[in-house]
Amino acid sequence: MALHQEPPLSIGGIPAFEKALPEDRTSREEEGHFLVVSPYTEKAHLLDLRTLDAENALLAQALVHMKCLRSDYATAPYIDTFNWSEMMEELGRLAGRDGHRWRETSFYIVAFRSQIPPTTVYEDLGTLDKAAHAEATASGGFLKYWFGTPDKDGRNLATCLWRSQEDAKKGGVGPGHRRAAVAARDLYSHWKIDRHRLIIRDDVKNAPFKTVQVEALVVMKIVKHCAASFPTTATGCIVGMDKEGVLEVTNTFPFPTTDVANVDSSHQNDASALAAAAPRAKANMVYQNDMIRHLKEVNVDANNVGWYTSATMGNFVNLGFIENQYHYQRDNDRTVALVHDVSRSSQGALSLRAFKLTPTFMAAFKEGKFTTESLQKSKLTFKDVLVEFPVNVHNSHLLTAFLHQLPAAPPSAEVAMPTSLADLQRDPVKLPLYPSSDALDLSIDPFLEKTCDLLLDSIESHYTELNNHQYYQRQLAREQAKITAWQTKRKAENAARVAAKQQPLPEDEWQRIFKLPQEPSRLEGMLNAKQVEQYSKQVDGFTASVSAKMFAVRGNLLPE
Amino acid sequence: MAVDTESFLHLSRPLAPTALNFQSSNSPLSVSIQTQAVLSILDHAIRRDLPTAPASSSRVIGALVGNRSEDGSEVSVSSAFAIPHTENEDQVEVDVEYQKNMLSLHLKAHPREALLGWYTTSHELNSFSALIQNFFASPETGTFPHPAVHLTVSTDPGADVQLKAYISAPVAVNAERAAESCLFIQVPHRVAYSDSERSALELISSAKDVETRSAPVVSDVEGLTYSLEQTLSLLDRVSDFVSAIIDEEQEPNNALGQYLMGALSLAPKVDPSSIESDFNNHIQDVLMVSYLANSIRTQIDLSQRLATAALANDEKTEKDGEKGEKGERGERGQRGGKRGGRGGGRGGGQREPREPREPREPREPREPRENGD
Repeated sequence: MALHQEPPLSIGGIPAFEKALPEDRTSREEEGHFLVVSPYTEKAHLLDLRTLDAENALLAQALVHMKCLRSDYATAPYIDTFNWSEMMEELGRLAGRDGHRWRETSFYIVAFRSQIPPTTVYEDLGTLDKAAHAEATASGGFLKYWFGTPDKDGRNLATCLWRSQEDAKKGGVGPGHRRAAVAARDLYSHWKIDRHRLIIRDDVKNAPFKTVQVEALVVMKIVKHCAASFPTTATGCIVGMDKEGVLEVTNTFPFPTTDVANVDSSHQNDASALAAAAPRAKANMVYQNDMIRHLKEVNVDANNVGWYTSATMGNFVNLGFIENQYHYQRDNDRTVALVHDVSRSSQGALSLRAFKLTPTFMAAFKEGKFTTESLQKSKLTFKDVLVEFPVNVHNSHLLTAFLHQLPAAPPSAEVAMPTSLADLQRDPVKLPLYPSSDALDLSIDPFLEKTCDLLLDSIESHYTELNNHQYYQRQLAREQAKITAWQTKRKAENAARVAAKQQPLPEDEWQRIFKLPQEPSRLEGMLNAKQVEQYSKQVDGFTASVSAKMFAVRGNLLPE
Repeated sequence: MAVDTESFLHLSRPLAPTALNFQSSNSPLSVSIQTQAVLSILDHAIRRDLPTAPASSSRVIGALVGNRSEDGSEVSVSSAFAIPHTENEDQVEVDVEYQKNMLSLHLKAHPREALLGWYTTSHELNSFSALIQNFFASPETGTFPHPAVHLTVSTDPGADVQLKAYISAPVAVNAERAAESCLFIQVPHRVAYSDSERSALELISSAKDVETRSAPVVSDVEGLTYSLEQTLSLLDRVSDFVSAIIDEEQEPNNALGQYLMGALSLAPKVDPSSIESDFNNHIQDVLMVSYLANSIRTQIDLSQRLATAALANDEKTEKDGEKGEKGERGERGQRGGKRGGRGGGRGGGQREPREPREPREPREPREPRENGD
């Protein structure tokens, strides 16, 4: 017998299911704890779930849904033959139902590929097989048995899934199996046994992250880079690691930009456009990989976890941003876009936000279709484009020590009295960094003004979008009218021809003659709506703080 | 803005060898270190390798990069990167190749910066320090003709993080030992941060008294609340101090009294009615902007919804219509009426100029049927 050691089959992790779904009784032909795991349904062929631990029992139940996807299963690659992804989903659902946290488990798969000559009676094989199966079931750890029917050349596939290799060995020592093996020599013209390992990873590792934790160093570097290149957009790469639901961002470096010092300011937009496109530029991918390789040597976390960009008054929701994030998220789902708003940070608290594209939007963007029809089908609205994550900043112990050396709040204990006014002026009290008195600055109108300008821009682009659609609809109506006219004409013609006992002309030719205009993409409009939402929330924030400040000023100037 | 400025008397920098036609200036040198460079160094100190042998040193080294003023009298360290190195009693190895590559990578993103010197995470100056210093100051691989800056950052547990900056002058007992000896001279330094970094530092500082050493990014209003609370508590303190003096519980202080008088006299003299009207006007403006922004949002949201919802609605009515035809006639009429109402409502919307997104042609088949009813 030829035994082939195959590389392990790695079928991803099971997706984590948050909530248990209602149990689907009809598809699980279960009789208490006995499970039908093979084409044989007699008692001796049923799997007793009580003999298995949680992982194996769950997998056995998920395997009930095993389906063959290909008709050429006898020769097709093993991993393509069955509906693994569906089964893994089912497994996640079952684990969620039982509240079980999946631990990484490895299983053993035997695939028996055979060919019988036309002379062999298939039923004889069946009897032998059945006996061997009952024996294997009794020995334990036999999770699934499946076989097909021979194709026209007599080729076939049978496969069993075991708890482990030891179980598979034990299951194959009985007299029934031996009889079948002896018979195999005469009955098959050719056979081959493939062995695979099925590894199902932890769901903990696969759980998506829920918060983003940014190291102080990263905050400082991003702020510095964005402020230095303001008002040009600045972009860079962030590295870190994803740990138990928290995406830790531990280091960062900027992408190289073209030097615009000598170019006059009319080219500023070009520089911004270049910088905004930097994260998906080919040259920068090389730079990024180079840099990460170097950082790895000095013990920095060497995983790319996304990118950052600077923004002015929250104007970052545009196609370039989406494309960048898509570019990162396509390869690795655990990536975020950090957005640092330079203008907003200058008038109040630091604005640093983390965004990701939603899976539905990812799928839609991959298709590249944003027509009315596809949007209705996917129920995608502008609210589903981005998902925001809470951002935390984290300091190392050493940094905490350092921060305590920076100016702190005035001491609460008794202080030495100054002897003269000059003393006070020479050595003014240093205000603490936190909470900062800068937040009490009263000049907020420029920011409101700027946001209003940006809102007007958004309305402008909204109108452009509307006009595009109007144009499209007029175009469509005109074409449709033409088609109807043509169809009536052709019908009349055909009626005349039938009356004249002639062959009628085909009536669906219009599809060739007329071409319906392409519907413009709704993506721009969607992003614009998202952007407007962003602005108006920002205005709300401004209003809240400005009215508080104004009441404070009034209270100060007009004491009651 | 700067912190950590110690009083420092620095007359001139040491004499350094000069190139043939370059007269090196010997004016005092001052070093300003930007916060993210310090943070970078501290991060590197945490990520050091565990010492393989007890004898080997646990310090790490790296390069300082930044800008130099034109006359070279002021250097500003804007960032730092780590360099792998191994050090034990007999020898020190610095990955020169790594330093070269990393520097060129860094300069790609910051074309206007230059190598300034190096840092290490212990205050100790030994012959290895001299060796590395001479490497960074040499014409081929270092900062020559400018002096190389050496920054030492103490990272001992339980002690303050202290920074010291040095430049060096060549000194040697004989020619053979010139490579591994030099004279370190301390120069003044300060940790500087710009306005833009203030908000970032504020956020980072907010986590310094928290056990978990992490803090969420707060919104503007929350930040304002903290600031107001802080200011109020300071004002309370001052007023407590003043009332304590008035009640003769505390010794009065002339200097503070003068200072407070000066501060209070800065308050402008204003007409209450004009303030009242200015205040009302401004708050109305602000609220108006907020109202308009929100109504724009609602309008655009609505337009987005209508763009995709119209067709779905029509399909439903079509289905309704089919069912209605199968059913009783009276019921049909009722349904028709309902449909008409809905259609009318939508027709009203159509009159507005910003409602053209509704696809027209699927509505066509419905009109005759309604008429048929």
